[in-house]
Amino acid sequence: MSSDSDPPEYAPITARGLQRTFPEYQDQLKHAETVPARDGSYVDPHDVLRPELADPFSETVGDLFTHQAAALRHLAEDDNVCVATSTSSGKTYVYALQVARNHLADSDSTALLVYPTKALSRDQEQELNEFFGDLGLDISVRVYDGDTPQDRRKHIRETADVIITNFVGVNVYLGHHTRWHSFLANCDLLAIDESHTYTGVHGMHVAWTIRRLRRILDHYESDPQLVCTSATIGNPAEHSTRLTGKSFTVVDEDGSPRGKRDIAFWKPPVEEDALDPDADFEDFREAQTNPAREASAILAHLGLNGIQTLMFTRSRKNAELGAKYAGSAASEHPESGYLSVEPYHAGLGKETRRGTEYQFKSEQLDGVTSTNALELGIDIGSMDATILTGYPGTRQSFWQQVGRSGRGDTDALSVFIARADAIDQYIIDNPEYVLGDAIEDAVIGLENNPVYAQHLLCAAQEHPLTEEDREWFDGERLDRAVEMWIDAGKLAGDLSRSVRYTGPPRPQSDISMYTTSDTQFDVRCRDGEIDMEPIDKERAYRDHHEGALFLHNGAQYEVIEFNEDVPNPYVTVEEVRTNEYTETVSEKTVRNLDPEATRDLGNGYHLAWGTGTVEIHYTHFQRKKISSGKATTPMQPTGLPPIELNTQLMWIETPLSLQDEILHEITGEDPSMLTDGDVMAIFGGGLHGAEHGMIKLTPLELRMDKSDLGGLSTPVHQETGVPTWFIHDAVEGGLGFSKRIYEQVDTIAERTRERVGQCDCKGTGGCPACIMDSQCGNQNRYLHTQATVKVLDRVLNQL
Amino acid sequence: MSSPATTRIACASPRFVEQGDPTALDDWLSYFDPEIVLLTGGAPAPRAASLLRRRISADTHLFHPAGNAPASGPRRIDGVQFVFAPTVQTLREIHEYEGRDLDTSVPTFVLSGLLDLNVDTTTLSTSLVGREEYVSALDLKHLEGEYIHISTQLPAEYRREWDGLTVIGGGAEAGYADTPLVALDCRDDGRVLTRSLNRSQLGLRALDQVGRKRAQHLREAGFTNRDDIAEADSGSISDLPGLGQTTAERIQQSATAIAHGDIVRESEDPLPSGDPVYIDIETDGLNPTITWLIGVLDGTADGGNYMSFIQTDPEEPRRAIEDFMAWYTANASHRPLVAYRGWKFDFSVIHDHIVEYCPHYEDDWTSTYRFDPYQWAVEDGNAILPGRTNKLEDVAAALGYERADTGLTGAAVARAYQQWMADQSTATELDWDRFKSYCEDDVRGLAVIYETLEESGRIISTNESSRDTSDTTTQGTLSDW
Repeated sequence: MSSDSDPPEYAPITARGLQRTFPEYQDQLKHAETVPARDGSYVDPHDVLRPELADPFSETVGDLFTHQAAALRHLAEDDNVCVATSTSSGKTYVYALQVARNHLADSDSTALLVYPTKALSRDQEQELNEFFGDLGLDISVRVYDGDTPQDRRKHIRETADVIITNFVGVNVYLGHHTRWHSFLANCDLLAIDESHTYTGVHGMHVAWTIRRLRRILDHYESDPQLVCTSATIGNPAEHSTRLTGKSFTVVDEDGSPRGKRDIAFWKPPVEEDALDPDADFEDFREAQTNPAREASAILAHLGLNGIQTLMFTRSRKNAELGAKYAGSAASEHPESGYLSVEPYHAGLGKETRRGTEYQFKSEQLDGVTSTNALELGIDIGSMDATILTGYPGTRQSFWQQVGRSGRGDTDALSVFIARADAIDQYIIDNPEYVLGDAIEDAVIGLENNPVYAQHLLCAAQEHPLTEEDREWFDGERLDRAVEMWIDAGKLAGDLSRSVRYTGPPRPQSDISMYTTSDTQFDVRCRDGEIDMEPIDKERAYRDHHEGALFLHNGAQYEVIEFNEDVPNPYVTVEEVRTNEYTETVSEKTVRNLDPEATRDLGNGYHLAWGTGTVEIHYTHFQRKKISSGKATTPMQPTGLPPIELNTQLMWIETPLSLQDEILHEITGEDPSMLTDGDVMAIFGGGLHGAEHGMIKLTPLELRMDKSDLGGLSTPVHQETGVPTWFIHDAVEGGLGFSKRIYEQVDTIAERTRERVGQCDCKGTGGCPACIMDSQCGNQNRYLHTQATVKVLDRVLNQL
Repeated sequence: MSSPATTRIACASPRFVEQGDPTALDDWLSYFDPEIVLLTGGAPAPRAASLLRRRISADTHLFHPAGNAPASGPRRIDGVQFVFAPTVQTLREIHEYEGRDLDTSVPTFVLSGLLDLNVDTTTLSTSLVGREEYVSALDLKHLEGEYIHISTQLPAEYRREWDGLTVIGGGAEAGYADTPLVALDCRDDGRVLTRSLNRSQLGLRALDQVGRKRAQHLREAGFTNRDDIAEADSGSISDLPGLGQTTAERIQQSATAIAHGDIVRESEDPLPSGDPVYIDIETDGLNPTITWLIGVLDGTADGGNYMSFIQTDPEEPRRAIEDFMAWYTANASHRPLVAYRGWKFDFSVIHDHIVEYCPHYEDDWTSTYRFDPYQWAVEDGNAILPGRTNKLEDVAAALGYERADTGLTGAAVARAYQQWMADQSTATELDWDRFKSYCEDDVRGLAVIYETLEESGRIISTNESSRDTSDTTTQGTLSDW
């Protein structure tokens, strides 16, 4: 906790310092980066705000940051604004001040603020009321959501100036919008907080809900200005437009100050020399030093040197283990000593967590090991260092976790520890990936038809549909969807006059904001509660069949009942603590391909994107140890029938001749002399590896989870007739990801080729850091790294 | 004008038949009293079929299209023509029946399980599964008569024209989970009216305070039907586990109410004072865009004056409401407005339409005293109503009210007006008098219920002030979300 501006080189608060002082250092530091300090850039509030606001703001808060000022200027010019700067850069003040401006211009003006969680809503209600109080304004801010007591609701709707809610609520409230008519008719501002969180399936539902909301606002002759506050994403303007249907000005130059920070890229040692070239997935897992242990060792080292540290882990279990390991590492340390470390995660009681927060703040603790529960929001004060056990999934989370370290203008250190995972290893090899400017894109797939159709039905209930609704609902599909629902008996009429809703009451309650089809499974916990949204049938079959183990919010559960045969299907789960995971084996076919976009790359190579039917049969599963990957049970049947998914896919076709070329290049022999087994192992392995690799590395480009995608590869596909590999969206109707992969295939294929080519695993079977995938339905057979590189090279050549 | 011949089909899913207790089945059959029982489902259900055969009377027809040895061929039942068509083959035979068994000058209802609906939201299209085969077997070009096609695979509310094929739902899943049991009244003029009944309104479950578990306990204790309970010793019911004195009393009173057609007062909560203004509205459906008829009864059920505020021109959606509000504010503004299930429908709809079409009346509307006897009795627990379903027509009928037979249901009225809205021509124009009398029927029935509520019970309070603001306890809470 030195306040020198240049700490001595041996102090572990810098990356080099850590390298020099870490006991039994084995060359783990692969890269060190220093991020220089940045001063804040300020603007006098009087330059942007009228005196009635500028004066009190100056007194109570101070100056504006440049990005806040820029945003407010754009808002004054009637633009919609997306503020995409880091957390704690005061984005809330942007829309709060706009609300204040609107109120001064018209005291009847109202505003709707939408937050992603109820907890955040309530925090903000308090803060905003205080803020407006400080400004001397009589503006009432009220939360209105599922937890608001019934007898308060009417009063809030009729009297609040600012209403805070979430989109699950908005969906429902639109069903009886006449109760809201005076609020909506006066609405001048709609603010969407943390807008970058709206992607994937949830993002699609929110996008259509926003369109329905704007349509009803329009019905009450209201056209509010929009403000989105977002973390940094690659495509803020595009994302905001896809989310809301309006165009935005983006403000992303951050004027908030920050201190100097070192980031250490740390690779735990692997005893690779002990591995066979034929090592499989399980062998690799066993050989690697457990990253959690390594992280704890660093925590102990820093703590013993007086550096207060926060360690992020990927699961609750690891948070708890981490604290224990740190304790024992401290006693084994050369400077042996006592270390006070506590774990922190959502599974601990509120009292315990408050206690830990307090102790850390008051510097009674040397360290805390936590899940990403502490990534944002919660105030535990500042600390000197953070440790990231594994890549948290997105660059945004990465910087969030890194950004937690640092007190005022003193130095800060963050240590990123790579796990045996393709992305982690990619980052170790290419740290510029996280250090550079580019950030993942947030994707919303408006093309998904099932979600569109559900929201259209709700819109019809809210107000009959007419020709004018082409503006809100995508004229091209509107006619088909209306006809479909009329034939299904849910709508009646025609668009030239009006189309009315004739189905059962409250279609809004049939919408689940996290799934696409209308077959959803509820997730119930046998004794206790699990806070989990209903899941799609596809996901239920894949990850939640009877006997499956899965993680949710850092806790582990086992599925003990799977019941599809009832009107409301459900799975029952039980919380467990094992050191195992389950691996499911599946068979997959892709058919009924209908390409909508193609690129002829020449020489027999084709790239395509379109729709198709993916049939997946999850047949068997077994339990395996996490640490070693060794099976602990035999293969058991899942008891499930095949499932059919109509979704979007992208695929790459190669010429038939590629097979022989690759076989010959790799074996040096005449391909016709090789057995079928060899062909599958080598050429099949090459295609398979390309498919895996691209799926694993797509999250480098898009904000998503690997499990949102699935793939299939084959030396000869029955419909394309040539060697092909497919990457498809894993939900009914598609998510927009496969389309993005199609559009960004150059980059993704390049990154994949880089990673596989650079991977230092021995042999050709690949490893978890390049082309082995824990979710592979074929148990990672067959994979061939050299063939994969050659196949990708060929494709890249054509691109 | 003679009433058209009507034959009633009661539809049930095999799951309902197999899972329902025997008194539920008897109750269902006695409530609908059908001429035909239609067993739905796509696969043979011999157990359900035999359970039904044992319970229906000899002259009730049972048709199970998916069964192993289903009935087949033309039938004339109570003056209405049917063809029971378990397979496509029967459809081919229809042109032989014409002229011989079927009178082609009147419509014929074809009952089958051959048509199903597939709604594909991924491709945005709905298809009628089995249509091609059905249509080609039917060979409509060579048939002279008019046919209406009812399929057990389609839900009861379904009605659609598919290229000349009139298709109506035959109650798929009827009685299973949340889907109600349904009856189709097939008339010899080709029209079909639907009536529904929830499974939870059958047998012991029709009783107040009795859900699935309690019904089971009561049955196990030897109470097989409602009359048993009405006549039992009150002690023998409250002795059962989980049943206290008060609950047992309510259960018994409920059984008595249904058995004897009485209202039983449960509390001393007063009804509003002031002479009620009874209202009932007709709209263009459950998600209404227009309130085109407000029926008003001023006075007693027998002698009161009935008025209709009607809007026959769909282009002017405000008229009926404006005329009504003008009358009410000028003549009756201190009197309570009474509507059955008003808080679930009439009051919300009127409020919405006032906001939409004549907002200057909004304050007048929100300052009216609105009273809903259904909410007061059933939801607030102030009284037990006779008639097992708590529907207006059932309660009024149980109290002895006799309706005129207009041959209409609420759904039919809405459909008729919708057709008029879609295409205003002489063909679709409604017989306005007929609809006014349908509405009058409901309003007078409501008055009968209200008057009986007033007369019954222990104490009738007279000290309620006559004009209340909008925040009284009998209104307000349910309308908020």
